[in-house]
Amino acid sequence: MIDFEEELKNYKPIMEVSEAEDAIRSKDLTDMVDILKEMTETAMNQKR
Amino acid sequence: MKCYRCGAEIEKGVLCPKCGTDNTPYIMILRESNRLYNEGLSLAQIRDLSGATDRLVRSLRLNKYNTKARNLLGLVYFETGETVMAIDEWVISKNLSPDDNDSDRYLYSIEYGQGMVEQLDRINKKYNLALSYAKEGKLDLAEIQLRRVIGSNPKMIRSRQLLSLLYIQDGNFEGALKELNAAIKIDASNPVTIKYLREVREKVAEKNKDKKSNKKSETLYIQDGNDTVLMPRQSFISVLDSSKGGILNVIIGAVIGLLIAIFLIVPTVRQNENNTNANALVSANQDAKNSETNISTLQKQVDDLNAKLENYEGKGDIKTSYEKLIEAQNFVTAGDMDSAKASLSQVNRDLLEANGQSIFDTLSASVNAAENEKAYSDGVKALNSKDYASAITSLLSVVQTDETYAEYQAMYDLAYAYEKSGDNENAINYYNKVAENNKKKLGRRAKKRSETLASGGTNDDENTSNLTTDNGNADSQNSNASQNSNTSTTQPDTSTQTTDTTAPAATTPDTTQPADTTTQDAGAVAQ
Repeated sequence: MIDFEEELKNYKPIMEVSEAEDAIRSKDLTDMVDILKEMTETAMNQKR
Repeated sequence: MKCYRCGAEIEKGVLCPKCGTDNTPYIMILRESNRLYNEGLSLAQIRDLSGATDRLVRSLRLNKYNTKARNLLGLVYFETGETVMAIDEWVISKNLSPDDNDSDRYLYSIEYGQGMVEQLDRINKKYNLALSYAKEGKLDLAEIQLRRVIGSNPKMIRSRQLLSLLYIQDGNFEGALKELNAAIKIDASNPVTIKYLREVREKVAEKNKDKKSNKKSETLYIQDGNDTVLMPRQSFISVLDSSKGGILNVIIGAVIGLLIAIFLIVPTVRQNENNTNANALVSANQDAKNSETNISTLQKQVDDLNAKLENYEGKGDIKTSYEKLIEAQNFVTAGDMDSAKASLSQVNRDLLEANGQSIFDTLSASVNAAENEKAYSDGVKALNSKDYASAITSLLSVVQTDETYAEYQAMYDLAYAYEKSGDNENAINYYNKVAENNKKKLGRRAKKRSETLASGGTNDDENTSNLTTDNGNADSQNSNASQNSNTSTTQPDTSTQTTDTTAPAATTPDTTQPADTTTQDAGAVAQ
C-alpha cells in the first residue's frame, strides 16, 4: 500500500539551468584513483 | 599507460620506471571502472536506464576520467528528462577531457538548438511548481501542471511518476496505470515506477474482481436423483446484461415497436387516408355538380343556337335570299303560288334590308292568302262530302295561318268539323272563339252550338253554303238562329221549322248546310 505523503517526501525539486553552474562547482569529483594516490603518498611519507 | 603517482609512461609491466610505484591497484581500478561502464552500456541498450545510471556512476567513482562513462551517463540523464544533470556531466567531461570529446557535440546541440535551453528551463520550473502544489494539497492544480510538463517533455519520468501518485491518491487507477506504463517504456527497471505499477495493478484487479463478483451469479444446486446439477442463478437484469440477453433485448424492442406501430401509427395513417378519400369524394361530387350545371347551361346554349340555326337552315346567304325573293315575286305575279312559296322558303328574311323584308312580307301574305283560299275551299268540299278528317286538316291550316279568315267563318267551319267528328272539346273551344270575336249572326250561332255541346246535347246539321250573307243580315239571321235552337230538351218548333224549310232561298237563306263559298270567299279574300 502506497503512502501518499511518504512518497511525496521522496520527490525533490528538479535542478534548474541557473543552478547548474553551482552544482558543477560543488560537485565532489574525488574518485578511487585519487584515494589510492593519497594513500600511497601517506605510506611513503610514513616510511621516511 | 601512465603512472598514477608521477605520470610517467609505463610501457611494460606494472612498476613505474621513474618512481618505482607499483601500479597494480591502479590497473585494477581502471579495469573495474571499464567493466562497470560496459555493464552500464549494456543496460542502457535494453532500456534499463536506472541500472545503467547505477553502473555508470560507480564507474566514475572509480575513475573520474572515464570520459565515455561520463558522456553515457549524461545521455542517460537526458533520456530520462533530467536535462540539467545531463548538462552537468557533459560540462565536467569537457573540462576533464578537453580533446576529442563527444560532449562537445551534445552541448552544442542543446546550447544552439532553437531555444532548447530556455524551453528545458521552463519545463523544470513547471515541474517544481506542480510539486509545490502537491505538497500544499492542491492536487488538482498539480495535476494540471504535470500534464503540461508531460506534454512538453514526454520522457520526464519523475513527472509521470508524480502524476500517477496523484491519480492513485484520487482513486483514478486507470489514469495512473496509463502514466506508469508510459514511464516503464522509457525506463524498464525504475524502482519507483515498478512499485507504483504493482500497487495500481492490484487496485485495478480488485476493482475488476468486484465487478465480476457482482455480476457473478449464484449457483443453484439441484438434486436430480443421484446427480447434483449445478446451475447458475441468473437474475432478470443479469440476463439482460449478458450477451444472450442482448438478443432478448432486441426481440423485446422489436415487439414494443410493433405494438406502437399497430396502436398509434396505423390508425393515424388510416384516418388520414379516410380523410383524404372523403375530401376527394366531396371534391368529386362538387365537380360532378358543377359539371351538371355546366352541362345544363351548355345544353341550353345548344338549344338556343339550334333554334337560331333552324332559322338559317335551308336558307341561303344574302345574295341567294334576294334572288329567291325576286323569283318569288315573279311567281306571284304569274299566279304560281306553290312555286312562290317554295322560293320564299329559301329566303332568309333576317339577312334582308327593310325594303326586302317588306317585299318578303307582302309576298308571304299573298302566298298565304292563296294558300288559305285553296285550303278553305278543300276544307269546305270535305265538309260537304262529310269527310270531316280532311276538312279538319284543311281548315286547321287556314285557321293557324289566319284565325280571322272570312270573318271567322273558317274557324266556325273547323269547329263544325270537330263537332261532327265527335271532338266536342275542340269544337266548343273554336265555337267560343268565334262567339267572342264575331258579333254577328255567325257568332251568335257559334255560341248557341257551343252551349248545346257543353250541356251534352247535339246540334242539327248545318248548311253553310249561304254563310257570308248570314254575316251581313242580322234580322234574318236572328230568325234563322232561332230555328237552330237546341232540340235536346224542347219540342221542335214546327212552325218555325216549317217556315224554315219552305221559305224561298232568295230572301230567307237556308243555313243548315255549309255554304259553297268558294267563289264568294275568293272574292272576299280578294277584297
